[in-house]
Amino acid sequence: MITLKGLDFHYGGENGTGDGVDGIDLTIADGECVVLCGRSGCGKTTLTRLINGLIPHFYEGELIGEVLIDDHNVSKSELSETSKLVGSVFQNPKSQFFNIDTSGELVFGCENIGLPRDEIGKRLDRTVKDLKLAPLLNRNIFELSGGEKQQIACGSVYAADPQIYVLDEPSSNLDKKAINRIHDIFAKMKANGNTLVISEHRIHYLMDIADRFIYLDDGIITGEYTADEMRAMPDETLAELGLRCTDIRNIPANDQSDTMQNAAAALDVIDLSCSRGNSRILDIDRILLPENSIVAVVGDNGCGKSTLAEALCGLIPSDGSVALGGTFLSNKQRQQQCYMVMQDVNRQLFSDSVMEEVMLNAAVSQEDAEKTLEELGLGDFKDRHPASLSGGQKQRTAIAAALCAGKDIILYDEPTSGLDRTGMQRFGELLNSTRSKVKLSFIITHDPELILHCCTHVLHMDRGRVTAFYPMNEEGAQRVRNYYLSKSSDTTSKVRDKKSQIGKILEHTGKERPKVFLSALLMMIGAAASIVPYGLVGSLVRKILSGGRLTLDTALPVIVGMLICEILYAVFYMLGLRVSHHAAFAALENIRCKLQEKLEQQPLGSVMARSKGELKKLFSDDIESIEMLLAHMIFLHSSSLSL
Amino acid sequence: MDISVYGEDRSALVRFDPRTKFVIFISSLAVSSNSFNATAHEIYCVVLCVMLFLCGKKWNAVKMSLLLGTAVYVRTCMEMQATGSTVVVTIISFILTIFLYCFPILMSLLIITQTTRINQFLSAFQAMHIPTRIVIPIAVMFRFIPTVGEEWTGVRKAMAFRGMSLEPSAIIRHPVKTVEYILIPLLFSCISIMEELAAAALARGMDSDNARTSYETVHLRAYDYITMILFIAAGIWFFATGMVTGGAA
Amino acid sequence: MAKKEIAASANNNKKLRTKELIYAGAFGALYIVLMLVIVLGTSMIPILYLLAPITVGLVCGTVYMLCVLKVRKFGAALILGVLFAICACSNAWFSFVGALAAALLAELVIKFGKYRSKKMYLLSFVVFNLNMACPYMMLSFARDSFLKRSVEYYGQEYADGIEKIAPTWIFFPILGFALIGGILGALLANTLIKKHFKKAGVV
Repeated sequence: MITLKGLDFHYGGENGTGDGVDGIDLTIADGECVVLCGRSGCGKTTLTRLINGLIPHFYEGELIGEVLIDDHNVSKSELSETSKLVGSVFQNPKSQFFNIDTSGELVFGCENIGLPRDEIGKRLDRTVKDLKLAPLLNRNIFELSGGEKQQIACGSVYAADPQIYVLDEPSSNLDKKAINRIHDIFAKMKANGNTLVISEHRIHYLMDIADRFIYLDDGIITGEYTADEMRAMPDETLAELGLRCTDIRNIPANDQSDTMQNAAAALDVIDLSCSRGNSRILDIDRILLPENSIVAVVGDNGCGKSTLAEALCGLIPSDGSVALGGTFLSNKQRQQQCYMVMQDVNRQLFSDSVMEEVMLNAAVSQEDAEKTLEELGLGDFKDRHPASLSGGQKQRTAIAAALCAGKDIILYDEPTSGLDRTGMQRFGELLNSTRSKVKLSFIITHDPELILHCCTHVLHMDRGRVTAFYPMNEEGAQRVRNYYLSKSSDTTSKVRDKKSQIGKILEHTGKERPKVFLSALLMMIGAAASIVPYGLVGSLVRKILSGGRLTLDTALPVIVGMLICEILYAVFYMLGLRVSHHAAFAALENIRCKLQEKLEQQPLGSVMARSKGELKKLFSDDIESIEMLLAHMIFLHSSSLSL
Repeated sequence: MDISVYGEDRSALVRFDPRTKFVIFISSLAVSSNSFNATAHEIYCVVLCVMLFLCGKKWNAVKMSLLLGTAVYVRTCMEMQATGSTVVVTIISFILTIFLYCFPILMSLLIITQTTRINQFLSAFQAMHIPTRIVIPIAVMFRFIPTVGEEWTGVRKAMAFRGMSLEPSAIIRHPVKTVEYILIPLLFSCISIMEELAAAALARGMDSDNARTSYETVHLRAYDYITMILFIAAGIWFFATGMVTGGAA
Repeated sequence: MAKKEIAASANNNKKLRTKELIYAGAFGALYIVLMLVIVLGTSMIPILYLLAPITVGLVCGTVYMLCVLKVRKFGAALILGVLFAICACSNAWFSFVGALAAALLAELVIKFGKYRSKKMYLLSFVVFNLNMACPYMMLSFARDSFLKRSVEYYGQEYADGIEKIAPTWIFFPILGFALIGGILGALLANTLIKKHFKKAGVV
């Protein structure tokens, strides 16, 4: 049981801000799931840090009162002792993990406790089974998506088997699929009888797990609601409290479609494609984005949204053409006309005051800059250093800098990920008010409330391709809601494929692979045999040059030798070609079978949507043209190279 | 920068203990500073290539041995008939000599970095009873290097939109300003990540005063001992002959 | 002129705690990455390769200062020095020892200022940057054995040619470069820390 009695804490020490919590009296029973909610800066994170011991051992300040977990005094005991009782999962997936590989990270907590190897092995197996982490074992953490990293973080804490779990905004950078996955993990933890303390903005996915909702305002607990009470709360009350929606079906939508009639195209993308290594990560035929629109880009992590945004800005090399306002532009030109506000806000702040940051390299007057800052609620922070602001304030500073930069196209990557309702609404209103100044706003987001509040169009992406593009009218709003309510697929991110083109082709030949090497060898012997005649002729020429006379008798062995070599060359060449055709044929068979299997797994609609002729062409003509390539090109190349 | 995985031993034919690889490295140090006998040096280099092959990086081993072969071949040719302008010959032979000198060290470093996983390293350090106080910074350094690479890429992209260019001409004209623009976001970003990392590690029980166990195991087996003895003997032999030849000359 | 004092940390514990070990390791990674990027990027042009102590000192000075200011205990500079020595000086044992000695000396300078004096922190970086001269030690100290080996391989005229290109005393200018780099880096670090990091409240 967790008891907080008369708790008073304010961040102090050298770098303190003076914020904190006051007069907290809270009791959390065993096995209960409590959700702490409230506006940004209300003290939710501070409470979680008080429970897991980071305050006062890591974050300094003045602490009055005590935190007790059964008999264990958290504030007075060592952090390593508290960590055996309390497991913590934090907000940022990127900075929580200590190891480079997933398996090492999963056992990190157990190693810290000092458990013997067999016990660690048992716990690892149990964690992998309970939390369904099998596809993520033995992988490089840097290659995982954000949601998968959070799953590993939860698994790492689960393996250490604490009684209490404390989670600080775990869903903050996650997409729909990942949120479903951690929801299942939390359900499992609760079913095991553990206590969960979760501090969250996005409360809609916790409605069926939470027992109590505790509302904090400015460091004081001002409300306590049961799950039913929360569910029954109307949207106006939620808005007043500054809380986000509790049910996706109820999110109100702003219909913007009438403002977008007859809009010219601002951005025209034709045949844009990007490859990383040897796999294609972006493949777009055609998109037309209208002028003065606010386009939301939606899709799972890893589907290519960030790649599309970076390709549009000209940051990464890509094939295809992008036209802005009718003129095709190169990468450098696009960089000059676009501006992207990135997800990691720390990387974009260059100056020592907010005012300076907004006016850096921008052709904007002081008054306009001040007006933008006021609209975003940053007027009081003009002279503060950007790095001393809170996360949400930093994000707003970056957005202010974007709006003052005077560029035509602004792209936002997850601008509202940690913002509460007020922050999100403010951002939406600001976008709307600047619609006339900016030709196009492009927002990558996982936030359904933002999309329904201020976007004019929605672009769906999946695996590098555009799957839908529609305006935000009533039908569009319903489509967005359905998307967020639908079940996600079960795929995990793929291990990066490091095989080259040749490697992939060789993989398709399957059993006949030795034949490929055999034919290459035969070709090389044949090529060697074809060189020898030149050497023989050379010897003849040298003999003439050195003064000897050329008669038929002396030249005969050389001529015979040349003939033999030519015959050998022809024979080996034919043998090699025959073997390579065998291998190519086998490869074709394998490719056809694989294609057939893949086709059977496609949803019926997409198959019927294609014409019969298209499928037939794919199977017969396209594949046969590969055979020519396989059989002849590769082996000719190998023989010429060896020459 | 794209250092995704430091080293892996999935395709190793023989799994050597990281401590054996350290011994190889130290003996290579001794060899390279005392390599007066050209043939012995070449034999040692070939043995290192074989070791790399055994440890799993087969293509790399073949490539390095081809490189070694070419270098020795060219040097032998030049010894026999040094035709051509003296300047070019001197420069090429200079480069070749440095290459052959560094070859043992380079190969042993490749063996260490490309075929060992970080967890095996840390486990070996703990088995060697190196205190946790030294192991933690090294582990953090390995884990943080890819993060610095990612942050650097992000900062570069952010700079592109602000009109701050990174071309050499711009760097020469405003060196201090460019350095400031590069360092400030990079440092703030990395400091934020390192604070969160420290908080997360501490909240999960890491403490330099307590002993940690390790799930990864490293065993010294028979072939490890044999290899270590062979390499130590080679190192001593080279060192001794080096002293003799160096002293005599 | 009053000596500037840096407020002492409330924590009087002398040993490095886990938090500080993690910070030192992370700053070490930053230092190494920046150093490698600068050295590898400029080593194409030979003259810039010899000037590396200056360029690296300029950029990495801020990283060093942040590390020691955040940790404020004995051992921060030493950890940076050890990580640098492992990564950059492993080709010769005397380079390794030289880099460690420079780091240890820098630690003593900070300790002499009782972890409060700003001038001592700046001076410690000038000393620390001497470690950038260590990888070049090989050019001076090992050249004797190098020359002997060249005589055996190529003959006397070749060795004479090498002697003309790179004289023995090349180590001393490099040492001078390291000192200049240290001073420039310390000055830049001072400006940047006052302008940004103090204002943001990080140190």
